[in-house]
Amino acid sequence: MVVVKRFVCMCEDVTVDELRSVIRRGYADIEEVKRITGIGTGPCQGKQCLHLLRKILSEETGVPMKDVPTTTLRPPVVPVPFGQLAAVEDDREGR
Amino acid sequence: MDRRAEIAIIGSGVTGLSTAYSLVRRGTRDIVVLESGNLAQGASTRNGGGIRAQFTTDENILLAKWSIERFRRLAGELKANFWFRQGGYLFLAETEDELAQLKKAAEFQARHGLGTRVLDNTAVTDIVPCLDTRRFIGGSFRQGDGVLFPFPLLFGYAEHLRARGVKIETHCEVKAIRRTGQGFELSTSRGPLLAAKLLVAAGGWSAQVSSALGANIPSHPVRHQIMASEPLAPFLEPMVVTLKDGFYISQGPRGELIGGIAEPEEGPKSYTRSGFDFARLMSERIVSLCPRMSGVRMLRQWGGFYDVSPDANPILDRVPGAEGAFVACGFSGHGFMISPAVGEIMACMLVGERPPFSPEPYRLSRFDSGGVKHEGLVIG
Repeated sequence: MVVVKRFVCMCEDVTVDELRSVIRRGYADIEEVKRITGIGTGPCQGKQCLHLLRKILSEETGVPMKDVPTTTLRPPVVPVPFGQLAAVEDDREGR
Repeated sequence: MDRRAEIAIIGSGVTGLSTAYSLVRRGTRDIVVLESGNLAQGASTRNGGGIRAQFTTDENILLAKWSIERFRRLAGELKANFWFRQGGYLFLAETEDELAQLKKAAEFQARHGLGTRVLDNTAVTDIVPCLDTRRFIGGSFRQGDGVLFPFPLLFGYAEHLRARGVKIETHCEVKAIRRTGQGFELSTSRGPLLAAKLLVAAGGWSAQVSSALGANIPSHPVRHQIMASEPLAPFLEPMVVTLKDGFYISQGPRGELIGGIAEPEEGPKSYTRSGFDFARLMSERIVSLCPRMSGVRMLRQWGGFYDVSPDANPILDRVPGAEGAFVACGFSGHGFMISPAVGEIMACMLVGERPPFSPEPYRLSRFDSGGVKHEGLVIG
């Protein structure tokens, strides 16, 4: 038996087939696709997968790629340790 | 071609969908749910998933207890796995006053058989060993409370309802509402819709939507932020809450820490923007309570809002001066956790049945009589 899985989001294990099936179930809004599949919410925060998702959405819905939005991009840009964020106030208050 | 429905629900958040679900269970299917953005775009998909019965009024405890029982069965009914985990809610007190407040709440909750236990620091760290006992003097705990993952519940509701003929129209904004002899004419971004009855369940936008009916609903949105960490191996069973600053944190089904903290109230303009002050405040609190977490990384933060009412309790009522229109809003940060009970109440109001719980404590008229009981355990 040959199992073929094509992964789009390596953090959350989301495959091409899963994305197509969710979109075909009527969830053509990129925010809905994100919330159903978890795509783009793992450690890379969409840096690997977001544009592949847009491409698949474009193919499935017929909307030109340039008109498919991105998901809302959330801070921080890269993961930051709590200890580092917590230390910022110390600097600011000159302690 | 006129679009018509027996019942129009404005808002596809958990309150609107839960009400539609209760209506369908009563045999009413001619329902249209109108949503201005993507499905459940507001607080329902932005909250931390906390589910608790530890409240400070009889009414809120009754609604929450009943809702928890419903959450236990809903996954099976909807065939949606929303990861409801009854790992408990652990409240931490930093001062004698706070501990006294927790004791009082636990005694009150005992009348409802909640089994809330007041704990010393040893008992607290038996439940969550990583906590730094220099930061609190005791707490309270109830095992039956817990967390769930909001998205699968919302999408589960939506699919279940659509399969039974309920129309859920996303990206369909209600621009104006006109009363007619037979009900309401809604002008929407997809053309007019006629509905005999109407429910406003628009979260932070509810007061604004209700004003289109000429009603003055005393609730308003207040921004709250949340963050998620990178995934960790399971180590945190309950939701941990500190009374002092409305800090809360739990571990989600994917292993990520999810939590928020109260911030100074801002103007109403920035409901969903996130800010750096929150990241710092939250991180500081995490590191002080649990120093071992200082190397764990924050992955993302986002904004949402509480629709806050004057007494931090929901508004469940007819819309004054608009017969056939109802409103469910003002949940003040605990709408998700009581949504099954609220859905039952609103469905009963809409079809003229007697609700399983008296909606009297949640009527608008309570604000006129001045006899309001403020909910004492509002978190975040």
